[in-house]
Amino acid sequence: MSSALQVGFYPGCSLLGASEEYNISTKALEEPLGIKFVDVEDFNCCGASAGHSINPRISAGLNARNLYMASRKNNSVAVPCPACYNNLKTTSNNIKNDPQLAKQFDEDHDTMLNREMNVYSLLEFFYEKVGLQKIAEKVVKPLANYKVASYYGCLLVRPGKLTQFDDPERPASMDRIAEVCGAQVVDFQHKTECCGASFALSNKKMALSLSAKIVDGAIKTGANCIVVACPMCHQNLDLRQGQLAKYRKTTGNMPVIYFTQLIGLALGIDKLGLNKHSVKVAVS
Amino acid sequence: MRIGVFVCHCGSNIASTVDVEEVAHKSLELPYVKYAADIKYTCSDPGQKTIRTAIEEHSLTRIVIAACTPKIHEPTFRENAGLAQLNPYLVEMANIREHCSWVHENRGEATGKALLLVKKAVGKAAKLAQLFPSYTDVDKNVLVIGGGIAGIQASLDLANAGIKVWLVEKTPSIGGNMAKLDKTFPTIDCSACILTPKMVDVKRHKNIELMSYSEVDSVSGYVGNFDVRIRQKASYVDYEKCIGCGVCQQKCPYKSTNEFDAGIGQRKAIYIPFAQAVPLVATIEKDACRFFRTGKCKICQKLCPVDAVDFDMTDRVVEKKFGSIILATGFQEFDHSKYGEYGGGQFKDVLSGMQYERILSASGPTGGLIKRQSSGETPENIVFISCVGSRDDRFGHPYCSGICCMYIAKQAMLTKEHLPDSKVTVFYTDIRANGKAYEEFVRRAQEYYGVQYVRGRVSRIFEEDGRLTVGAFDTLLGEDTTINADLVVLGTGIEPDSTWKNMAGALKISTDSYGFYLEGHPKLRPVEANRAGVFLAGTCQAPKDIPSTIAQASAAASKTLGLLSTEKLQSDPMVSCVAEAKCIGCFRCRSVCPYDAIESIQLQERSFASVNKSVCEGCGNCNPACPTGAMSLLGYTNDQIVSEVIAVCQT
Repeated sequence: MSSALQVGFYPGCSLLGASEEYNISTKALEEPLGIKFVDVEDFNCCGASAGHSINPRISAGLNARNLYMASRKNNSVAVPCPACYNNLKTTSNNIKNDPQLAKQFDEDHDTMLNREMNVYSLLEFFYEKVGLQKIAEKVVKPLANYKVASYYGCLLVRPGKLTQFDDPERPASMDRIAEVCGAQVVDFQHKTECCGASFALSNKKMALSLSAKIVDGAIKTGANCIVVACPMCHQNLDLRQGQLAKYRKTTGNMPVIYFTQLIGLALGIDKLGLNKHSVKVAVS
Repeated sequence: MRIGVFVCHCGSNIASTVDVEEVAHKSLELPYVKYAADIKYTCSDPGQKTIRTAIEEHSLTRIVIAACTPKIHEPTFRENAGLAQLNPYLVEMANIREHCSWVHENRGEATGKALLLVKKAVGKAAKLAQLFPSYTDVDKNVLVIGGGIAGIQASLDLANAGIKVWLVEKTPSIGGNMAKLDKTFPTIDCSACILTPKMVDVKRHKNIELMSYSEVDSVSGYVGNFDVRIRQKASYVDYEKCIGCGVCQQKCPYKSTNEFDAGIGQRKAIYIPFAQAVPLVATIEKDACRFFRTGKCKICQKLCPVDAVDFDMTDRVVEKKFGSIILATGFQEFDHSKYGEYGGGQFKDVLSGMQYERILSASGPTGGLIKRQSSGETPENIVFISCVGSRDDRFGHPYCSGICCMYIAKQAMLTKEHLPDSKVTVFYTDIRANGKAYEEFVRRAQEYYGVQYVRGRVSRIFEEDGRLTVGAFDTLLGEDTTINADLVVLGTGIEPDSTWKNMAGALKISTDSYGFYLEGHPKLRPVEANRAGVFLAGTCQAPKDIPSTIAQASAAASKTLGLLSTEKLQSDPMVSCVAEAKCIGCFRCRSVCPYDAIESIQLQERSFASVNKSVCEGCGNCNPACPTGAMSLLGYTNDQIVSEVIAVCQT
């Protein structure tokens, strides 16, 4: 559609791999909501945690290239993974504030880097650019049986100065989206609590214990579904849910879905990759 | 023209970098210089005497003092000249300390620069003219803005000294924040018991005119002669008739937020703010009143035994002249709903410091019984959290509010007194207890009352199943700690009362970046604002406790008395003046004057600018604005400045 809302899309490593369903469900929303996601051509790794902690220059370089590749088709890019988002946005801000950095890139790559690229998290894009109204208009199957606990994780709305989106301590954007989809939102207390992801390999017990607290917290507030916007959050709460029972009284039956899948369900879309989850998604 | 040059060693401050003897010696080569000497400490008694003797013995007509910054000793040197019968404004200073010896290292170069600075000063000195101060009357009435403990103390001190004081308070009663407190640290005195006698004194004092429910609209004029417009807001109750019986508020059908109880619960639209209010009268909040909103009711009017309710009342404006003003507008509590991690103001059992104070108070919403706001049960586990809204850059409050460590200890002890079997925990960052008997006070909480002090920051309060869970890091044990709480009290900090911006604007005084009024000098002039005739008292200047507030209020009163005790006020003669022959009446000067010091005078169908010498602060803005050069700043005339330039630039 020529009048579609067009934006660059940076899938990162996870959406083309382990979190394929996040990609599937996001793209499935293009047609009904009039969006065109343009995948960034020949993108490279954003550096994840290793990049910026080992050498900030590496991180800047990697992400400047991603921004450059994205800028060849669009002035803005939506980023589904919060870690990629944090990396891309940090670099984009640095480029805006430090002309030397951008110039260095220009010289290294013999090109002209767009200084004004806009970087959005995918949640931010849906909440602010697509808008609740547009989503509400297309809802055909209000999710009346869903009692949703929205888990935001650590990098989606923090650091506040970087993301400048929603509230770093009491975010509510995903909750609002769940509401326009007809779902009930519970007073979830663990919205931004740590899931222990960075210790998933080095201190598994700690990571599992923290993740268990989150799922337990959702159960306690009466939720029957957790909604996330991050492949890592999803992995820790869904894939590992079976292992959490040892640490907290979790049932092992709490479905964890992406907010794009939630919207998809409300819009009556079939193919959302729900079968790829560990915990079966069956909300009665 | 006989100029004398005095070069100061200032001990080693100047002499260790600048060769002062050399400078003095070389000064003799400068035009008109007939005498030069170097002195160890020019500001000292012997130093001053040396200068006076030189003036007399060598018939000096101008003197140059090469020393420190004029901001410190210029008045001293001027006065000294005066004692030697030399007009005080024929004195020029060269700053060879802050501008030379303190910022350079190379002795040769520094000495050369010092000499240049002296040359500059000599050039100007030759162009100086005698100046004479003018004198204005001083109105003997004083305006005190703010009826909290600071305003009350200052008013009483002045009134007892025979001065007529007008005390203006924006709420219906005086008493301020102190009236809301249950007990005060470190004596655990009942706050109302020590405050209300002073409030009554204010009411009764023949020298105090109390205007409550009033605000200052505008202030013009200058020290000794401030013209103030005070607006007494329409309360729709005749304060002269009202006897404070309270029948009206019993039957009023509409309610509004109870500000006195820090937002806990409600009060009626017609209300007496608290039982010991002064004046003890009712007030109608127009926006909450049924009659004003729907046109129906007037129950209060029907019931009032003295016919005091008057729905036709309008604001009353009073214009009065005052000699000086004391600002005592106080503080307000930080809004803790900004802390999302502590519930964002949504958790019923997370209270601010002032809210808990009202719960503890026998005159408060729960009659002094500690109850959970959510369920009405008596709590068993109470947690206090320090530094909420203080020492936090996130909300623009990096400063320490100074009183929270103490009030938390107080409230913790009072909790233990009310509920001896309760478990009370304080999560603190540091303990700031530096007043008299303060450290011992906090110790008592820990050692006698068994209040558990844990050093660490609470990262989040969870509310689940009607219970609160507090998660923090115990830094002394080096581990996480999670405790259950029935009630959490936040040690909320303080910020200037919301009127600060309007008041600073109306009085044309500066504030710091937090809105606290700026004192004349942080160390040496803590009670004067940066405008002559305006004084500061209490928390409106900086966070402080009650003893310091009272001390500062008395200090402000004392300074005021000093100002008012002179027959005439002497004003600085270094003000702008207009050469009428050159003035074309364009008034560009008036448009750039920050003090409204420029008036227009009519003569022979022409308008001229005229500078009010008492208001002019000598900033000089008007000088460059004047297109014809009619405006000059005495002591910094064009001639004088050009002579400095010539002296420096010509080798």
